[in-house]
Amino acid sequence: MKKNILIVLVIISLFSLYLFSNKTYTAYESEVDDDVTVDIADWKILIDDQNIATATRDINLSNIVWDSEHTDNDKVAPGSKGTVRINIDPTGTEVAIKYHITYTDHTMDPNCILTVTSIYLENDELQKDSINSYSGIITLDEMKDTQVLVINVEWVNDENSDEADSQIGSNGAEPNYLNLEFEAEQYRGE
Amino acid sequence: MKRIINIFLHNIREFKRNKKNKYKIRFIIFSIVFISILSFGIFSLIKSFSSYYSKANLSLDIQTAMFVLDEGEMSFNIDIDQIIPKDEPYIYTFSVSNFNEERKSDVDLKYNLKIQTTTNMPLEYRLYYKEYNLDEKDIITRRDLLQDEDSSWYNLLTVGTTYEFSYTERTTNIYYLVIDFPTVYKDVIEYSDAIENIEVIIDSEQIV
Repeated sequence: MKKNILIVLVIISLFSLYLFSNKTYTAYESEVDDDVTVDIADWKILIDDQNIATATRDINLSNIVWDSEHTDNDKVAPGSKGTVRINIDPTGTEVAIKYHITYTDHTMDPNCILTVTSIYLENDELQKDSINSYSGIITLDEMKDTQVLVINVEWVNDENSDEADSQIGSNGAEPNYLNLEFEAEQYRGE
Repeated sequence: MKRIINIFLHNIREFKRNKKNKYKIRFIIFSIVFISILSFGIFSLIKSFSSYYSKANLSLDIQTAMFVLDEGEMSFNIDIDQIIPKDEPYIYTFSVSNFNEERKSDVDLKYNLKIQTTTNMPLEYRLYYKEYNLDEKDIITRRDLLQDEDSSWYNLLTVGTTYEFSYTERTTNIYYLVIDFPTVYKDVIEYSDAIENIEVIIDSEQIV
């Protein structure tokens, strides 16, 4: 009986090893001789000129353009539509990148003022992964130039929120507009 | 084929009948599950440490547009010491602006006017916009006598025009409230202790 059990365990172990070998990439190949030299691919991503590869950063975005006929264009009010532009500079990176934009807007949390309507990279609309997340890929060919991420937002004019909106416009307190998170990871294909 | 299957099933039943074999079966199943979980865990660990990853929290540098509507003295009382019946009218002014001492409105806005008064004195009201002279027209378009929840009567005078302010400039609109106290009431004693309350009501909103 013990012998049978042992045979079963060996079979399972061999199967697991097969799974390992099937999923790993042999991205680099080295000849081991007397001296072994391995070049490590660089990982450097600048968001509005700030390098997020070295540490998780809090970045304040100021490149925002508002379009509203009846409001000062530097400011936001109910009914305003705006465009946030974020420069993503991957030129210092030597691997393909997969990135995710995750946000909490008015549709997720009524305390947030703004609603995200769409997100583009250059002129291409990003793929929506979930109700509040978009993702995209920057290939090795696209690494040569800075990419511009465009987030379209809106302060939707809802009559049911008139009282709350008026409070914001009257007392000068800064509300919570929108929460955004940018994540980037090495992309190794599907 | 059917016979082979029956033999196989019979052997399984016999095998399971033996109590010792039951423990062996459990041990085998446990071993399979344990090794599978271990393999998956090691595999996941290797996979998670082998990728670059970075993260940033993004916040927006935004300024909220301010909604400012400044009203100069919107409620005042008139008592008999201030006003007596006479041919000439009494003139009160008030103003509405899209700015105050601290800031200007950052949005276009519009507003409507109403005047609410008590009915303690037999006064007559007219309202003029920008200036008061014989050529100008009274802008009150509707006069209602109403009761509130305490059954008290009051006058509600409505101006039919909607006024607008542009956010691009500071603007003040001036109004002249003209009150007539006819001389026919000159000798009427019942108004000797009367006080009339007059309130200007403004309904305003942003133009979107």
